[in-house]
Amino acid sequence: MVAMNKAIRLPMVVYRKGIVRTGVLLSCLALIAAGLMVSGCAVQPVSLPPRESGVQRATLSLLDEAEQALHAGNALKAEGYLERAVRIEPGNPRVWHVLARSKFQQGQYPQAIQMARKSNSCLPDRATERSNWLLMEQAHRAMGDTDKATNAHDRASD
Amino acid sequence: MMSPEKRKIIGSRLIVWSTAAFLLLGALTAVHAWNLNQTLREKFDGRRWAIPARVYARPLEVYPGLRLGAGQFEMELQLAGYRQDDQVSTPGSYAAREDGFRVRTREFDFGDGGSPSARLFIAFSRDTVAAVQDEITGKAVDLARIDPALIGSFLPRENEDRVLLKREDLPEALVKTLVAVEDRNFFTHHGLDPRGIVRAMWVNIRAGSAEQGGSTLTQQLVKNFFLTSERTLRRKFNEAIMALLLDWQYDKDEILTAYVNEIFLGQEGSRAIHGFGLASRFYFQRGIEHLEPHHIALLVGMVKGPSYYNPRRHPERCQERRQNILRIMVEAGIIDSEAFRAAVNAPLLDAPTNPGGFNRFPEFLALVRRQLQRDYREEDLTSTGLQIFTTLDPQVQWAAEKNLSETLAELEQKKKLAGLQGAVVVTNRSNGELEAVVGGRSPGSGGFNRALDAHRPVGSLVKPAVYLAALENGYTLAHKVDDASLSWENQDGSPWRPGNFDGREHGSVTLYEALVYSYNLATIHLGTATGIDKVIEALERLGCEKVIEPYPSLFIGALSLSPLEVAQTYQTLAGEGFYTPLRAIHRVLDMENRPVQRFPLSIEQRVEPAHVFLLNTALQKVVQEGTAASLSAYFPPSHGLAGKTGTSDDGRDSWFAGFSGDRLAVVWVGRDDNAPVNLTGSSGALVVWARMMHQLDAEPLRLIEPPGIEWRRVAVGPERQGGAARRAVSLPFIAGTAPNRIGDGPGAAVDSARDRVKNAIDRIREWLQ
Repeated sequence: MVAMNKAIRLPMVVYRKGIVRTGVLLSCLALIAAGLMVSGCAVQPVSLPPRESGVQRATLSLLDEAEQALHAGNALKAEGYLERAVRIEPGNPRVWHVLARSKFQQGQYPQAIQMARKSNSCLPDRATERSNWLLMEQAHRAMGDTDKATNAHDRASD
Repeated sequence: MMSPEKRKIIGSRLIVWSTAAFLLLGALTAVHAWNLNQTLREKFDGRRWAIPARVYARPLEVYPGLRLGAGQFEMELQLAGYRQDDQVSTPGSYAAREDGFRVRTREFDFGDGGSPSARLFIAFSRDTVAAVQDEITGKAVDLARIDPALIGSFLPRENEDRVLLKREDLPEALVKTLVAVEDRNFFTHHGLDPRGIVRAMWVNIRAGSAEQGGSTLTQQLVKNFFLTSERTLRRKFNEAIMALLLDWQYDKDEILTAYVNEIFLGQEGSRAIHGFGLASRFYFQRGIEHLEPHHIALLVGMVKGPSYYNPRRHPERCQERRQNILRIMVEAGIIDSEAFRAAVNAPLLDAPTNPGGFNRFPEFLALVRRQLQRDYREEDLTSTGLQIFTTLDPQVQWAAEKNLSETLAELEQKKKLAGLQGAVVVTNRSNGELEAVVGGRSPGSGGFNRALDAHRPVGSLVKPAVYLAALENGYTLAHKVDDASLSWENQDGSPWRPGNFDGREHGSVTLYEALVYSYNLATIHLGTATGIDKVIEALERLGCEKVIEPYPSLFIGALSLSPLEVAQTYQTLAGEGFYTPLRAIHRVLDMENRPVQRFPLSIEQRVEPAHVFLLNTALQKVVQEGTAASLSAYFPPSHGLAGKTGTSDDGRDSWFAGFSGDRLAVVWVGRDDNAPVNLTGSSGALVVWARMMHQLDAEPLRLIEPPGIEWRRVAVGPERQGGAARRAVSLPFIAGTAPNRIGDGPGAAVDSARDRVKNAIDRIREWLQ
């Protein structure tokens, strides 16, 4: 059996500031130089490092399942997928947005609003942010809070 | 001599009396039988067994990019009762290869859509999952789930544990072998089998040892079910009547199934292993449907004496018994001679025995139980077969247990201390799931659960609430506050003269410095200026549910909390302003996988994003240069970890609460008798925290910077002679509150443009050194 191999030894490495900093500075310079050289060429497609892309694909597969379940009117099932997605990629505003929708579909308006806020706090793209405000508008309206609904509506069309 | 008449009379009286006696006896027997039958029907028609609730860890989600080492993965598999098998022949088995593992998962219903059994190849590279492949389709898999480890049961009072099987679950080979060995005429007799007794005697004489017993399966069942083990005639008599009654009223299949579920097949500590379903998992890590002939032979052989023929303790006896059963199997035509040859050569237990996860995390189970006791009766927990899916992450729990006990032992040795204790609580930063709970340094001892029940003064851990209240009420991190001595009158008239940890006063300092270096006097001044009601309100908003007394000593930690309560309070900071109730349970299902209860994720924004961002940035500075700077031995500054140390009077309690990108962890170290241990937060609890988080490969913390934050360089530290430039730190401000815009506000300290350039040059010089 392979034991937790890296875990046992205690890290008594003290990061030697001088070396690290010189390293960082040199690599900054190298980056600038590389940037200057590349700037004339065609833009290369940015490929994500394997870890990020794996995490994103795992999240996407759960988001797909969740969307399908929501579409079929099974918000509870969707929530199961989404809670898993939160565990894998908690900083993904899309996950919290769909979670907000599943709460809304279940009539849990206060939670729908909270999840939409959480999504917005993750700095989403403008389209997702707008959907969050629109969802909050609907939720406030469903709870009879016209002022907050109007406010959310305004934020959506800012 | 008696006259013939007299003889006749006596004779007829004898007939009458004996008839009467016979009738009476018959009637008594009938009444007795009727009584026995009542008992029998009650038990047989009712719920026959108390099925304990089963508690599971979280299922492991596997996807490319997951940070998990091959060794850790294998530990997970073993905890979940997977057995090593090069052929990966059944669900619940795995084979190690050079670059990863072949795994055959078990079908599992998580209550959120079942997962079928899958054949996977999972490749690892440098402590990360490199690829997941479906071995049947050959396709890459984005996300797979491993069925979760069973970590414990809530056993009924008799400590009987079992997994219920239905008739259709029973492999025919098992049924046939059981009948061939224990009760050859089972399907034809009426509960008793006189021929069987004779044959058993004959077989035993021929073999020269007791190979077969004369009791039918029905009698054995009756004996186990209703009677004590005393060997009296009366018991034998009752057993016979009840066997007849049982056979008369119930199907053979029903009796057989009850037998298979009832039979005692081993003991593990106080836990009694009952039934073939549990026994096959317990001894072979297999579902009953995946037993091979040699497994069946071993289990059937154990019926006769589960301790005597225990394969782990008495392998030779068990081996001999198993070979005998295999011979019976081949004679009865249950297996052919080829299968027989394979079976006799098969090892007794095909996997190296691994302990599995049974009741290995009693402190976590205690928390689960406590949470459930609010909604369920004790009886429901121990008898209705509930399935409880928890949030326990075995990797985290192991790391927490190991680092707590090792570090405490080391501290005792180094600092000549004795009787140190500790507790750890670890949660998921974003959803409040409890991943580990350690209640003491020798986990599993089942003693005092300090994580839940040790309420100790939190010291400076309370300070972030003071600074949050201040930031929410118009202060910035650059505002100045007086770190000067003060005295208060206690309720009893005695003076209260708090001091700083280093015994000095630091004069006029920024809020930032006061928090990062944990200055008591400055904090008391700040708290008083902000208002104690506001501080208490902030604490409550963060999630502290204690009743808090409004004394100024609160500002420096005269508040006793359990590690779990501290975790709940810090969770809101770790969640960047979103409060989340801590959860140990995801969901509860009944025995048929129907949902009974869910504990969904819920959140509530309780702190403005900007305020929590300012505070958390300062907590990052605590780690980078403040009281928790010793973390730099474990993590580079770029990791951005945030946290706070806490020390109570005379170093009785050593605390550290902090969070990384993925987790929040709270550690307490002290003594049960509350004696001073002379540890600070950073010399005690922090060490445990650092080692544990390092082992768990903590993710860097990247705080989300909300819109409208401005950064300014601020001069900090003591005034230097000759007006030399002071050290500058870059601090965040809510737009419009940065000192150089609002002018020299109350004590704002900002460098001139010239100073800023000078500072920048200094920094570059430092870099190049």
